[in-house]
Amino acid sequence: MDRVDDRQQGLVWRTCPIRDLPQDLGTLGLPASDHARAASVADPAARRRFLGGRAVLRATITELCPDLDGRTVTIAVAPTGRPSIAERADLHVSVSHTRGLAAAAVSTGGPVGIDVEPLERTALPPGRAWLTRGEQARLAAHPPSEQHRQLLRLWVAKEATLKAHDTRITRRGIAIRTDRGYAVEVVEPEPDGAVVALLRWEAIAHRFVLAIATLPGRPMRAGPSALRP
Amino acid sequence: MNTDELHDLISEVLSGIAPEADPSAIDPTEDLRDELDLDSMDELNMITRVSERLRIDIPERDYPQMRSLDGAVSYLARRLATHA
Ligand SMILES: CC(C)(COP(=O)(O)OP(=O)(O)OC[C@H]1O[C@@H](n2cnc3c(N)ncnc32)[C@H](O)[C@@H]1OP(=O)(O)O)[C@@H](O)C(=O)NCCC(=O)NCCS
Repeated sequence: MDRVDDRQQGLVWRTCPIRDLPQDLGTLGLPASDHARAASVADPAARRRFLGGRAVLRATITELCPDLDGRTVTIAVAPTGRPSIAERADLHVSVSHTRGLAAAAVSTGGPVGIDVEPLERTALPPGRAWLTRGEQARLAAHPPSEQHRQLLRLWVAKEATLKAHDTRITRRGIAIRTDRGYAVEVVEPEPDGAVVALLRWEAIAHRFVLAIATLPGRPMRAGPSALRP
Repeated sequence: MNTDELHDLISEVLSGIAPEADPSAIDPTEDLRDELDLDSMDELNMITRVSERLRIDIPERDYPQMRSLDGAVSYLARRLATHA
């Protein structure tokens, strides 16, 4: 598992290639509750990704909170789907899994959201369905060879922000401003002031794009630059 | 378009999004995301493609009504009826 340790900021995130998971998922050391939930996932590959997400989340919790045993904490799931840790209400957690990679972020400093997509994913919904006009215009200004990557970056940035907010805010309602091509910022914060404004992403080994949404003023170190080949 | 035709249209769109899945084998009352292992990008792709095929705008607040195959068919049937 790769990880980014930003304990000073109270935020750690890690990724785990699905292929690094053992063939026998029973040997992952996950509690029965995780396996019980996995049993309701019909597709074996999806089940594997779900358990990969749980494994990386639990490892990340232990990483950030040495006083807590991530292997045994209770992961509660709200009706909206948002995960939380029953033993520690002050801990904010987020999970994402896609074909090939699971990722988790844990924060003691406020809401966090994480999202990951493979760069090879090309069939994105048309921008008009989920981008603001400004974003569409900025996207069009990129050279055609860069547009796909930029589009995916916007996608993961928005999904990460949605997870951090835990609200079904419209995608069109979140505008993302790209800065030097790497940092992105939400420029239309929620009216209630629960701003989740700073995001970073990292193309991991040129195969995945990952975004983390967290509170403003919480700079994060760059994410892992490579996965094991 | 009647409900059978809407059902076929959605199934066709879903086959394009999840080619390895068999939409005819799913429980039409259950969440499509679980039934066909769709994520939010697949879901938005489905909604935009259906919306383009039917030439109707599907507002984001109505997306939850498209979560199951049956839900999507009855939502679209209602929308088309008021559209006509
Ligand atoms: C929740 C959502 C962000 C998940 O994204 P995804 O790309 O489908 O899937 P990911 O693998 O990245 O994330 C899955 C994880 O998100 C987390 N999650 C689900 N709902 C969540 C919520 N409301 N808040 C925070 N996290 C949530 C869960 O931990 C889940 O993992 P788990 O089931 O293993 O615990 C997405 O489905 C969503 O609802 N987006 C909102 C946009 C929208 O309104 N879409 C409607 C139609 S397109």
